Amino acid sequence: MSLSPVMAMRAAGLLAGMCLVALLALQTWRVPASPRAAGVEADLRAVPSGEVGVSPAGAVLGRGAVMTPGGPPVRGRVRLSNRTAGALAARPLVAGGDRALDRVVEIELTVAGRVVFRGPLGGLRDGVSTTSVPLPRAGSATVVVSARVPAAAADEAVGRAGRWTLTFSSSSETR
Amino acid sequence: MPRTKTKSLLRSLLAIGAAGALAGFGTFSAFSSSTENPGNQIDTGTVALSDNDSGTALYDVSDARAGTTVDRCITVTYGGDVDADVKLYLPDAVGALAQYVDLTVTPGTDPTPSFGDCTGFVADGAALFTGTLQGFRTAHNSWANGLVDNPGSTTKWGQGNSVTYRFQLTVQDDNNAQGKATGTHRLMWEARNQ
Repeated sequence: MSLSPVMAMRAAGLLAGMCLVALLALQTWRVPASPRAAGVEADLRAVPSGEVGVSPAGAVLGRGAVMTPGGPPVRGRVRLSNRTAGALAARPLVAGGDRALDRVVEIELTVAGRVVFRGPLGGLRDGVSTTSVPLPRAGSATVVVSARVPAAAADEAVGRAGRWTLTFSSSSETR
Repeated sequence: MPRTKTKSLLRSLLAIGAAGALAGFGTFSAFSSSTENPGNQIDTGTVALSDNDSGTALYDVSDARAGTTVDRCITVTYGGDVDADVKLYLPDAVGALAQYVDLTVTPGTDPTPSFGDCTGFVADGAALFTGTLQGFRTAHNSWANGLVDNPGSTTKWGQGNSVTYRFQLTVQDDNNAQGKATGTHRLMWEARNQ
């Protein structure tokens, strides 16, 4: 069946009208972009303790590091130094931050290529952490910190942010 | 093209466009309004002070003689996330020897501190205290009369600040000091948020 010129023009007009409306709708009612990150914005700060010095002190993963669910891990490193008069086992402790993210964020700590901790962030909370880094007297060690959010945690992760401190201590004298 | 057909075509285009536009506006025509107050939460800061002694005494001397000197350093670090004041005091009673023990306390820095060792110590100005151990205990035995000290020229302790304190103690050359003891006592640094 062949279209008459009039029918063809009408069809073209209809298409043009629909395109115009669609364009207007898209421009006018476009959903604004969310100001929140599409993952977990992490600020993990290394803080020295009396017994274990850290270098550099401050942001380990880089300021404003964002971990997208299923995305690559964010990494950083911190050098520990023994400030005591003997050997010690430096226990990593995480404090602060949103506890709802304790199971969402996965952390890996490695020393000289050896994994000393791999698990949820909450596993490094005081009273839970059993991991330690051996430091001989006057010795030091470099800890590579890697953090990621698994794809399965996408719903819990979107738009969240947390600021944690990471200290290393063989005992707690906080009160 | 005949004039009537052109008119008819234009009318058709206008009608279709208008209908499409009306349909589009109609789809999004619901009135709405909302406001939100997001992200409410409360969390508390921390005040955390620690040192590098691992539970070991800074000085523990037996059979000291006249002139015996102890020169030891301890590093105190603030890990809390709210700014704090820190005071040093001696909360425990001291024995009869304390009046014959000269004491100097000097704050400073040590880039590579090691408990007890003052090798890298650099004084940060004048001594905080000079007198006897008994005098220190009498003057500074609680938070209320504790010795105030801040890192360098600051007026507060912030997260990550460290100060190394050098303690120099000397037994006086006095016969009355014989056979006496100071007793065990604690040196206390206490932090309270500003």
